[in-house]
Amino acid sequence: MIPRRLCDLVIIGGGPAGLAAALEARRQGLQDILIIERDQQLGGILNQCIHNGFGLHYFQEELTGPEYANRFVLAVEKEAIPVLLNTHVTAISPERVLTLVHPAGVEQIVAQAIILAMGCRERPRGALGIPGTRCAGIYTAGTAQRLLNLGGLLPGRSAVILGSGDIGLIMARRLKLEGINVKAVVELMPFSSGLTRNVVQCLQDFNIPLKLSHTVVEIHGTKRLEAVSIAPVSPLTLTPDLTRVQKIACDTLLLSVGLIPENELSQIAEVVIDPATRGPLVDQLLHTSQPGIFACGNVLQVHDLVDDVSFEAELAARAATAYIARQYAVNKPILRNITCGEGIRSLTPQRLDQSRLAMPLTLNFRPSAVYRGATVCLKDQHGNVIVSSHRKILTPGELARLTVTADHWPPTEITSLMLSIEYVQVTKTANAPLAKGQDQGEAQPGALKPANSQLTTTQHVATSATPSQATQMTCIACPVGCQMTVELDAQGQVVVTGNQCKRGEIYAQSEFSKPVRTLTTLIAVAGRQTPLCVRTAEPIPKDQINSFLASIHAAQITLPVEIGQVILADLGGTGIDVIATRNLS
Amino acid sequence: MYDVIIIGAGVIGCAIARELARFDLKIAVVDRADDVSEGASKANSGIVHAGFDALPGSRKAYFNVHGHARMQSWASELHVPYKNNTSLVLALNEAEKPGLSELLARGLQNGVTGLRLIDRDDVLRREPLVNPAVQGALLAETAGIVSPYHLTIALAEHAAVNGVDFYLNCAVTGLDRADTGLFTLTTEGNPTSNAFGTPLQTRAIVNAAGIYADQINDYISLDTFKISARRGEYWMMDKQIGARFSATLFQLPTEKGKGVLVTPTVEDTLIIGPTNEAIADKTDTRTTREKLDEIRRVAARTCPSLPQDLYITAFSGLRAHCDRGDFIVGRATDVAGYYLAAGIESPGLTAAPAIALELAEQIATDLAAHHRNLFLAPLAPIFLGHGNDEVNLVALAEHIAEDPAYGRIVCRCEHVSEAAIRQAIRRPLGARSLDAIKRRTRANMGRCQGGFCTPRILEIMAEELSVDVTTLTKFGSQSDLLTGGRL
Repeated sequence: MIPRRLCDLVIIGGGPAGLAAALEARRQGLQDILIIERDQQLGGILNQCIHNGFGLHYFQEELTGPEYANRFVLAVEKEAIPVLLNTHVTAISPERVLTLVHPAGVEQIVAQAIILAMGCRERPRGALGIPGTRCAGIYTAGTAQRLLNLGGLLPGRSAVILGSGDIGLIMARRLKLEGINVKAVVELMPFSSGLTRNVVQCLQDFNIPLKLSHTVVEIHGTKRLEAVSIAPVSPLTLTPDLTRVQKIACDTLLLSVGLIPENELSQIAEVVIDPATRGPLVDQLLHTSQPGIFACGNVLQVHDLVDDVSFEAELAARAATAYIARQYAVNKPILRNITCGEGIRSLTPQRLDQSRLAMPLTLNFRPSAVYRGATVCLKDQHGNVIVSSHRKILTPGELARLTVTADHWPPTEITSLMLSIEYVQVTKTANAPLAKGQDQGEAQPGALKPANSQLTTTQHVATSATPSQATQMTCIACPVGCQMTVELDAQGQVVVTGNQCKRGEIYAQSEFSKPVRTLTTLIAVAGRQTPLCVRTAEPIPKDQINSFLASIHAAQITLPVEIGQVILADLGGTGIDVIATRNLS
Repeated sequence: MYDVIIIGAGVIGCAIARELARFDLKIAVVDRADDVSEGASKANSGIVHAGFDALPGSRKAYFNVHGHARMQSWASELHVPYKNNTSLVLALNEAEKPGLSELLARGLQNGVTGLRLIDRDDVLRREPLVNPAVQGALLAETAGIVSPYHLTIALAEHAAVNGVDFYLNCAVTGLDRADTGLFTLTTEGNPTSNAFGTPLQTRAIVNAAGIYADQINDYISLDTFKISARRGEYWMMDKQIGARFSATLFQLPTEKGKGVLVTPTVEDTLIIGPTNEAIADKTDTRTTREKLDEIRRVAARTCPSLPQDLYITAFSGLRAHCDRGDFIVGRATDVAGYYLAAGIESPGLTAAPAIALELAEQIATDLAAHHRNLFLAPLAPIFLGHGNDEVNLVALAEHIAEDPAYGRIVCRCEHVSEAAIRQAIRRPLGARSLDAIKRRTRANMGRCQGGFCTPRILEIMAEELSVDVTTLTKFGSQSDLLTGGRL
């Protein structure tokens, strides 16, 4: 007999979604909660994301992945929420019976409610069908990230990265900072699918070329990777031009070519999956098609920011808690479909529970292309606009939102809804002409124009520039990514042009006079496999990254180390400390 | 000093080794690769052909039919995944229907049972995803599928537990026959044989060297033949779609071969392919854009609705095509003590049991060998603990109680435990590379293709093998996984 027990709320996944959901459920007063995690520690993928950029929205401060995770882990420990580590859920029945395998045995849990928070996985080489040999040296960006950041292992010596999503960009910088020669980041689309901030700070800062509208067409090397062939692609058909193939010698290829919500378990529970998001079909309470099963985080849809995952998880937890309290029984859902119209690739929630219009509805959507100066419209079955919103820019690289509040809803009955992008003005070119030598393939109308290495070189010169010299830079304040020109006028005043808003000017002025970056890196610890991840407590001058890096790497570590502990005080006389971003005992 | 040395650790070499191990002979198998099954045996369709395709009277037809007759019992004895899934040769238009009757007649001549023509409705009832334009099919009720690398590994393990020595990473660079009738092999690459400091000597030699069989033959025989490599490229698709097929689906064969097939595997994935292309370089196992596109195009004739987003990987294998157009199996015509199993292309996997039995008997007779008193049974398979029904879960719980590592799932896609990975390394002829782990456990073979589990598998390998993790390879020497070393 397989032992069986009851539990009110089972949360599958102890990453950012699962942890936030558990804490919110506890805040809502729920006692009987269980977090199931397959890894040997909580935190999920955040544990290997040692770079900064997390928490700006949730904590109003900039943290690294392990630090962000640690805050939630500490709270879960404080609340004494039960956690099963090293535990694999092999099945969920539609009746919410979970089958668990862990080192202590096999058990089944009958749950009142389940929150799916299993995250996503990376698309592998095979899904793309890149032809060539099947040699060693081809990794997904996430695998390389884990090997490096958690194992202290360098996958190779010289690398090409396919895909300019955020993980690809982040890994380009990580590899570079650990001494690997990153030859190029190759992107199929005419725009980067990552955040502009990452294009600037991960590629431009390090002179790593971004080959837009290019793809890897062949893999060479019988045993270990020796080279990859890349070719430009037509921006419209995305087919490579095999007459213009270029071979790049490298021993490592990292793939950052898309994330897929991991829903095999959801499908065992017969949860209906939306082919557009590849996540469960949910209503505004994140309730899936199976009663009592909720979904949040990257298993529902791939997010760009972990902060949004945490917020979404809290919504799912409130809904699950209410479900357990039987609030659903008195208020049967009346479900209406919300469909993707023109310009929308995917959205959540895909269903509106019309019995709950009093609560605000936030639609998360991904546009199918880059749109500038467009309007997002939510319409009812008659084509009447319920809510619309003008946007400066919408790009597939950033999940966008549209909020509908109670007063937006018409008094008439809604039978279906459609979200679409309208009144589009496709700009022929970006804000500034392309820089000379920019490797853009054929320019695509409306495409983002991140600058290339040529631009960065100019930036390096400009930081110590003579007054007359103009500096080009890409604004990172928002996804528009304005190409700005910064120069000193005759009076010695900094003049910014090309920006569309005040934020651009502020960014350009500080980037021109004193560009700074938070530096995150690893320090090898003698006798330990896992290296220590650290960051500068404050941003440091950008042009000193390389000189500081050597002194950080040379630091001697005495264990145990606690998160936040100063590892190196007053880095190079800057007054800025280097602090640990993980506990290491 | 050996009685028999077999060159080649593919399915043929390992099957011969296993059958010979029943006799009181000292046997060795040598192979250039770091694992058994590293050549064509790991990269083929995995089909157990019913036997209607081969030309009547050919060695292919003979060994196909006799190999087929043994396959099910071999698979069950060796705990190798096998399924009698049947096969269909489809007539996709009226003009193709006479072709089916020809195949039927050929099959009957070859002595194949369970063959019959079925109509369109029957085809679509059996396989709802087949092109609705189908006009009928030749059903082969006895056709099956088997995991070719599991079969090869299981045969090798069974041979090894019965005393057969395996020299892997050991390329044969020369072969001499002295007047005494003794053969001497010169090899390079194997540290074990180098440590002995003496070349390998043997009374009998078996050439099961696959695409290199002609080179081996040239060392000692004047009865020459030519083996050319025919590359077959394949796509593999997710279990989600594989589970929706049961039979192996062929199109009508052409003079170029059996053409592109669509078949579920014993592991429930779906494979489509192969192409058939003559390749000059016998190490060139690349996949190409043209051929991968071609497979999808041609497979769409069989199944127009294959989803575009469920491709997991693509691979290719090199078939050993002999210029004589048929298998060469048996005693060499001009050298006593030299035996051949050469030119074993399709249906070589199906034929393996029959080829092995025939050769083992010839060799045992010629060497006047006797059956051993003690012949050990095959090892129990690696316990994978799959299945969510009560019986499987209880069995899994029992294993976890013995060893908690059975409860630590390393590969999430294929549910492979830490214990299974350790077993794969510890067994005879245990895995020494990441690909070898993959073939034995399926870890790395699922939909994420090792994205999540590779770092952990490498840790376990380093621990089990007492080596530094940075020395580990994907498939043997020079395929190092972590060329950047440590921080």
